[in-house]
Amino acid sequence: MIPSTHFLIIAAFLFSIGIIILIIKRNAIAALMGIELMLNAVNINLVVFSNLNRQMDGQMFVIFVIVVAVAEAAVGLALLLQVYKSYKTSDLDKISKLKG
Amino acid sequence: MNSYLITDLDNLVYFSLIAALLPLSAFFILFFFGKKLPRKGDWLATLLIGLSFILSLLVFFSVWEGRAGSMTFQWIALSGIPENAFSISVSIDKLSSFMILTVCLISLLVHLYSMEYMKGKLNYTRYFPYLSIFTFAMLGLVISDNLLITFMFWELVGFTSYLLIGFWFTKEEAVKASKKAFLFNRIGDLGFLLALMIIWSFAGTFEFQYLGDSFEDQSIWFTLAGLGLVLACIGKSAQFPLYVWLPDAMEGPTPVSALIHAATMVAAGIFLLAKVFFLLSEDVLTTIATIGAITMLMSAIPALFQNDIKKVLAYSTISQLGYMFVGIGAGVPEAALFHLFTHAFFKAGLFLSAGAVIHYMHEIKHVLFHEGVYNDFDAQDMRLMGGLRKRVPLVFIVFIVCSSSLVGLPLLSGFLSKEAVIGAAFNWADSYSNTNNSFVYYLIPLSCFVTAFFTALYMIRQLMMVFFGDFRLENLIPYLNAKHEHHHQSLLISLPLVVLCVLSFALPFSLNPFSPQSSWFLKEFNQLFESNLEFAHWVTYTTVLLALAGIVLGIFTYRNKVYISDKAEKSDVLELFGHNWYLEKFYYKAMVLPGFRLAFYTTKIDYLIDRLIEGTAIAYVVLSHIVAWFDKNIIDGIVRLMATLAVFISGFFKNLQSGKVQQYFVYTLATVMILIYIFFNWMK
Repeated sequence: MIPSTHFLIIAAFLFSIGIIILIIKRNAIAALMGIELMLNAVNINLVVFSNLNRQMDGQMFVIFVIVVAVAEAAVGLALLLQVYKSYKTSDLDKISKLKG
Repeated sequence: MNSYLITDLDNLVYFSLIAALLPLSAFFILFFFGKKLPRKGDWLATLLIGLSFILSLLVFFSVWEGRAGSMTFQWIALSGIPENAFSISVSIDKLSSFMILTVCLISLLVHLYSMEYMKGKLNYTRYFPYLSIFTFAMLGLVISDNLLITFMFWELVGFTSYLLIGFWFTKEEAVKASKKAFLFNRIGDLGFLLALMIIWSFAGTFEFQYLGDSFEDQSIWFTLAGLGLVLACIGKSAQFPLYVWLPDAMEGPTPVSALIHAATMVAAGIFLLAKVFFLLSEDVLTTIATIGAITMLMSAIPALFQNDIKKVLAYSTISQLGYMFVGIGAGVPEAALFHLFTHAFFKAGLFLSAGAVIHYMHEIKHVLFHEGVYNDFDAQDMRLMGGLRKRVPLVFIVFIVCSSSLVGLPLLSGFLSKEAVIGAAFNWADSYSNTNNSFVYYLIPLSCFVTAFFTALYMIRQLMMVFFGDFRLENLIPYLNAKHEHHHQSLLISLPLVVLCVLSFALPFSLNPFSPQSSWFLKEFNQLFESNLEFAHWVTYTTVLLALAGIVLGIFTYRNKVYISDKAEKSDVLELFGHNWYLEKFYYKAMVLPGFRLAFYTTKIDYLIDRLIEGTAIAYVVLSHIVAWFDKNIIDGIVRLMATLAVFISGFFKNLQSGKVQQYFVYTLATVMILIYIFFNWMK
């Protein structure tokens, strides 16, 4: 049996990659993809720890997370579409209206 | 005789108050409306003075029948001060009633005389108001029974005298003379003020009726107060150290000289001394007698060398005032007052006759001017006169009567009063010499004798120069010879002259014209002062003989004297006496020059102060420049530094708000990581 540490390392690895993508990618879609990656890294952690505890609630929570992630992706993409429509770009550096 | 003219005592006071206030009303009416009235209102002033004179006659006769009245008004009433501290009181007694009569009579005569004499002169409108205010001030001075009020009127009298001396203000000499008179009187008034202070601090009142009680002890202050009053009287009555103003005061119009500088104002000093006689200690009286003796001699001699017709009379006035001072100093004020009384009439008569002569000379000048012969001669110069007895006979008679009275010839009023004064002086010297075993005291009656001689000499000189010999002006201007116009003497000029001439005889004053003791005046006043009036007969004989000797000597000396010659008469004697003992020069050297020097040094100090102020100002400018620099660079710099700092700090925080989502995420991440780190550390 593969020790759970390996899974945790992969999950941490994935999470870090997600963070890095979120930070360095200029394209908003790529950033959303980074977020998905981080969510999935968390999902792996949930599954690993629920397996260690011999309980199912963690795996149940993963299902919810996937559902929420789908909704989130839908909302995020819709937002992105609107942003693109008004700004004619999806470059996050150029969308800086928040600073006021 | 019990039929009093004024029955009610209060009425007596009211009558005299009205007599004093009438001239004041004349002053106000003429001062404000004089220009609109016909003849500039001179008739109104004369009329009101005439009313005053009638009132004064009533008051005089009532008082002389044994009545007296006084009245006190509360001036300032405050709790805590005595009732008579600030009050005004009026007292009508023998002393004041005879002065009221003198002032009113002479003022009335001078008013009448001035209507003709001043006719058509410059500033005629202002002349009569000035005369009226003077009369008011003099009457106020006389009836006041409060030393402070007396002082106020005393000053007012001095001020009007100043106005009238400088009446012809376009003449520089007149302006100078008025200034001089005013300043010399100020010195005397300083003494009056000092006396007032001393009296106030000792007696606490200025009322004459209470003053006598408060000076019981004969302290040094008592003497000092007396000396202060004497100094005031020296200034006003033109006595020795301060008399130099009176000859110069002759720059005023001649009627003014008669009224103010011969009959009334200069007599105010004598009047005041008689009124405060009870305050004067023996030392003070001796001082008064000495001053009087010095003055009469010092002024009688320069009178011999004057060529101005009025100046001779001025010096003679000073000399006669010296007699009055001796009379007071000898402790017989009634003699001094009697001399004041008679002197007022014959000296006013002399001045008014001199004025008539000057008037005549002026007329000649006018005639010459209209004929086209312009000649600007001095109308008062006696060297140009002579032989006027044929031209103005009435004036000649008046002049000869009045001057005989002045000389002290028997049958005339001056004889009575002068004998009384000299006799009193002799008695005084007699008693003092006996007690002190010293003959120094005889110097005072001696100077009286010598002065009597000189009086005769200068009066006969004046008579010879003006009325006898040839009319020297005619010799100078031959054109006049052809014209022998009859001079028309106006009634307004003749009447006062005749009245004063009649009053210069002894008969109105004494039924026995050879005995001063039998005159009603001295008899009445002797009840007041109770001094010894009896004196040796040889005094009288000596005086008369000296006067006659003076007359004879004068006739022989001045009969054929040449007054107008090509070579100027010059001698040391003439220099000394012509310059009034160099007294004026001495005052100039001793007072005026140090004054100028003081002014010079004060200017220097002022210059120094100016430089100091300028230096301070410069220092302030420099300092303010430094402060400005500090303000601009340091204070403003700090403020600007703060602003820059704020901009810098805000810039730092501003950069956090970049609006970039990814940056925000990084911040969040960093924060979460720090929190986790802290959390774990805390857990441990």
